[in-house]
Amino acid sequence: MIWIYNRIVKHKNHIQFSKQNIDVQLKKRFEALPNIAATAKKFMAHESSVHTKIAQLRSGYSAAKGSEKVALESDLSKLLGNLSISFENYPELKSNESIIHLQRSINEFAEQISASQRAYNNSVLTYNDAVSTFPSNIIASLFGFKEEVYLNIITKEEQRENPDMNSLL
Amino acid sequence: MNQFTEHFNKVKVLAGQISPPSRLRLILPSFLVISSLFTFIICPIFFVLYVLFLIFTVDSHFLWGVTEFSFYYFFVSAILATILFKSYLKSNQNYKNTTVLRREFKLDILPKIISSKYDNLNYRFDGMIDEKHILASDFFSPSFLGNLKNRGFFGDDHFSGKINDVDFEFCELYYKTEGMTITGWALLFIVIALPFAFLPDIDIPFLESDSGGDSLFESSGSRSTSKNNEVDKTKVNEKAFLYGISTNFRGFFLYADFHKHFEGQVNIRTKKKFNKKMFGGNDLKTIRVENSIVTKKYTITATDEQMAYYILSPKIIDAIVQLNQKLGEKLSLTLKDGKLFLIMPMSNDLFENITVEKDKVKVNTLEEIQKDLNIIADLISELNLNTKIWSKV
Repeated sequence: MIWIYNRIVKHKNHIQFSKQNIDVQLKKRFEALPNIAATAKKFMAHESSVHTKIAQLRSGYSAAKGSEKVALESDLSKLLGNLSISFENYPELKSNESIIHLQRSINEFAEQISASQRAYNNSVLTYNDAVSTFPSNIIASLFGFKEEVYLNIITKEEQRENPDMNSLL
Repeated sequence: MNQFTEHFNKVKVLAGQISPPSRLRLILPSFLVISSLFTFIICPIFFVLYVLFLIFTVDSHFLWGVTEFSFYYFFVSAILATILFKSYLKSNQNYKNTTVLRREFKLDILPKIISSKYDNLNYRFDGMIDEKHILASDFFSPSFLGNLKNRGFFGDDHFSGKINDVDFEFCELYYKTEGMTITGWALLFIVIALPFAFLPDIDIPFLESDSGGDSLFESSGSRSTSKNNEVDKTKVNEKAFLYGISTNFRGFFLYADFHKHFEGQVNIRTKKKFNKKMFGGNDLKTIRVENSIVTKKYTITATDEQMAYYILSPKIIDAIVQLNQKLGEKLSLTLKDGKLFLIMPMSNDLFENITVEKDKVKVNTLEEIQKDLNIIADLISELNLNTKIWSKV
């Protein structure tokens, strides 16, 4: 019984750890936003809506909490995806070092966030398995452990908008 | 008809000149097998009779003599029969797939095919991937490698080249050891231990001072030392019966440097165990990926969970599924410090399949060789799917 209880607690702690990791990755991306906005402003001056929106998202992020933060993250993923696609309209930019670096950065952030989200969801799966399967479900209900919800910051639709580097470069 | 037809025909003519081993060589081992089976039945019957006679206080020397003789005859004849059978099978194997023919094929035909069709490939018929890469792959656990004194990796059909900026090497790999086999140890135990049971009146201190067992080990050690430099590098699946050289692993090994950066290690190991000791255990964290085929057929472990999911992107997972379909589920991978290692056990030669059966000589065709090489080229391309993955920003 003690062993099962400890196992469930460990799984729950691991979820918290994975959640922290997502926060770290998201924070990294938001911290990089000024550089992304600056590059976009420099090379795509007439696409003013992009950098305005980036600035808005950045200012709103520090005040946002919980579900607002998740919504902001999704908006940002979508915006950055669209930004990468819009580079296609500027063939002369494709070979520009700064733009290449920017695109790689955007993709790198997306991959890292996706990885941390998958790690989190795997932790939730392990925990939920422990909470819902016999005999650990008896201990779980006794101590009030409940199933956790899977995270989905980046939706499938948004992932589809994520550009393929091979085709762009 | 192509430019290699002449070479293929040359090999076929050479192969056709080889005659099979005489079947008369099977008579003696067959007799030994039958007689050993007979003594296998006789021994327990006479032993039971001897015990029954003892109960009625009759010590029958005849019954005991037959029991003892049949016991030793069984082991000696079984060992002799196995040695003779193995000798015949080895001759037969050499006849079907001879070293001479393979050398002809490897030295003459294969290099010409490679140089004419693939200008980005280098071929060495007796080459091998650097042992430091083999050991870095962590496919061979210390317990698998370290048990026997005399061991070694041997390579064959070594290819190296570059596809899409990926430097790669692959070869057929053999891991051979020399020493006493499990059967050898078991038989030694039986030979030493069982006389105690059958000869209860023997003077034990006398036997202890004899140290027959120790001297046998010593002689085994000196034999292995003297043979150490003569380890057979040929490509036959060797399997020593009591003592000798055994092929503990035979397969395909690929090393690819993607010139990408990540720190850590991800192990993807097949659950279809072909050698329980080979991979060994590790204290890395187990990773579950979303793909049910991969989860069902492979065990994935990694030094860091975040890094593992970062590397094992959905596209890489799809590539592993593709490889599983193409090469079978016995393949295993290690992704380590920007490098990829792939291993897969094989029972047949990858490139030089020359078989002689009765009057038919079969040499693998140019198309078959090209197909094999294309699978490997696809493999590297599939794993190099995404330039953004593994790259350092």
